[in-house]
Amino acid sequence: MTESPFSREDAEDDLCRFKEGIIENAYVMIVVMEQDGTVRIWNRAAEAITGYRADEVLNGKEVWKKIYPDPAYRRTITTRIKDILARNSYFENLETEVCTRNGEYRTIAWNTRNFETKRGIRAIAVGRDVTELKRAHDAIEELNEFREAIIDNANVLLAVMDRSGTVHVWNKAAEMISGYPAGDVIGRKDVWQRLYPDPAYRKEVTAQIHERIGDKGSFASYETIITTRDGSRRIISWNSREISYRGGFRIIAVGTDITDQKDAELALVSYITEAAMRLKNPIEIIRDNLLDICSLMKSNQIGTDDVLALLGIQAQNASRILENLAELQSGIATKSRAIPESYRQFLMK
Amino acid sequence: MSDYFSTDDLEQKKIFLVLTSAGKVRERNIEIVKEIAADGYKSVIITTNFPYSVLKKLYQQNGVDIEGVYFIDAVTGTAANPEPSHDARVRYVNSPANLTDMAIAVTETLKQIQGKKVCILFDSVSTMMIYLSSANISKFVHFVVNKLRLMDISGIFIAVEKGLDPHLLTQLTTFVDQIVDLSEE
Repeated sequence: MTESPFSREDAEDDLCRFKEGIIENAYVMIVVMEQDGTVRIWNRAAEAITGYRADEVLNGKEVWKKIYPDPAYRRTITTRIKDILARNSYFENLETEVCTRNGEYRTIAWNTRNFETKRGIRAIAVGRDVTELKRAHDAIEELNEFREAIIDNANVLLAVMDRSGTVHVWNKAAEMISGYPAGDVIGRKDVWQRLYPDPAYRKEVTAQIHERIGDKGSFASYETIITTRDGSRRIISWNSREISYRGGFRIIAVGTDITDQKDAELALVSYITEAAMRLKNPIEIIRDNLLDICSLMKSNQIGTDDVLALLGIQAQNASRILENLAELQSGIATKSRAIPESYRQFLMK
Repeated sequence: MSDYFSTDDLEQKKIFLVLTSAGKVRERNIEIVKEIAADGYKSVIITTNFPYSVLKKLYQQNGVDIEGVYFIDAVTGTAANPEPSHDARVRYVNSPANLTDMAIAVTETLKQIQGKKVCILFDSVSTMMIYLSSANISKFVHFVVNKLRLMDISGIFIAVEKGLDPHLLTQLTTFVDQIVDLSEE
């Protein structure tokens, strides 16, 4: 039998080099240290991330003060690590903020494990640079918070529901307008029964919504009257759209409370109607009476005293019309909140 | 002579709403009073438009025997304090808005001619719009109509056809027995 050209020592040497190669070329920080923190292995990724070369770090423990320069933070980290290690011989995904040589901070997620060597227990720490991941995560979180803030602070009622009517989003304006807090509404669909307590009207609204959504997947300016928690009625103008969501559908409904606007319109219509009745028509009466007086004078059917009496009556009628006008203006100014203050004062004069 | 109401209508104590065009209110008033007189009825004129002094003169000029005409004048008092009248056939109310005094005057006048054939003429509902809201006019007309029905008296309300809001017009039509539309004539 011929002896192998490779000895056992050669094989072990190859394996050792192979392991060293893996450690050195890994894309994650690999640090091997003794229990007192003395660093025994500091790979290339550790050098690249921290900026500290292996020859500066190995066989010392000063690097920890460098990468955790704030004593308070360093103490916190040390305490935390000790706490974890008191329970387990390892920890996973412990995130720390590492200060690099150029003063930049990077977030490293650490995984460690203890192992025994001939020279005692050592710890291998694998650190993954999650700085960019964390930034992306923070950005998403910030975006979500921003989106939620927009939804919550929008001055329109915003509700998101599925096709069964179960509510998934109910913003602050929805709470304020309806009187129903999000906690009583989200995850349920009975709010619609409360907002539309009359079964016939609810059926009509539901049918209209299904028809409009079914036709185009959206609708705009559909007005309904809701009954709020305190029993008052509000007119809501709805804009709605159905969107695909995680394999299903969601209906986004945006409702604007147009009750005040409608009241103002009603007040305006009332004003115009009353103005026509109590101003336009009476003025026509005065005009016709004056024409009649002229006609009676021309035909000598009435004398000067009669003319004076009739003109006096028409003057009195005109004064009364002015009083009516002032009364109407005052009524409108008091009734409608939509009138700007300067106009209100003018009307009240 | 115009014949707006039959003798039977007045005998049946019907209540009418006469709709006329704006320029013909006075003319209609005189024609109606003449027709009532011709049917042997006494008239009670509730006037919110022309004063008693002028109406009396115009009736006389048009051949109406004013001995059979009684007045509740709610218009003279709005312009000036009327001279105390010695004519027992006239009662003054200080304003068309004073519905209480108007109601008292109607009651007293009807009492004065109790037992006689009487027809009330209200001239005009439209002029009342200067002094009262539609709601109050409606209430007052309702009161007068009830009074007339209780006392079994015929009544005629004159209004300018386009001078009332549709809601008030609808209400008035439910109070009366018949609408006489002269607005096109």
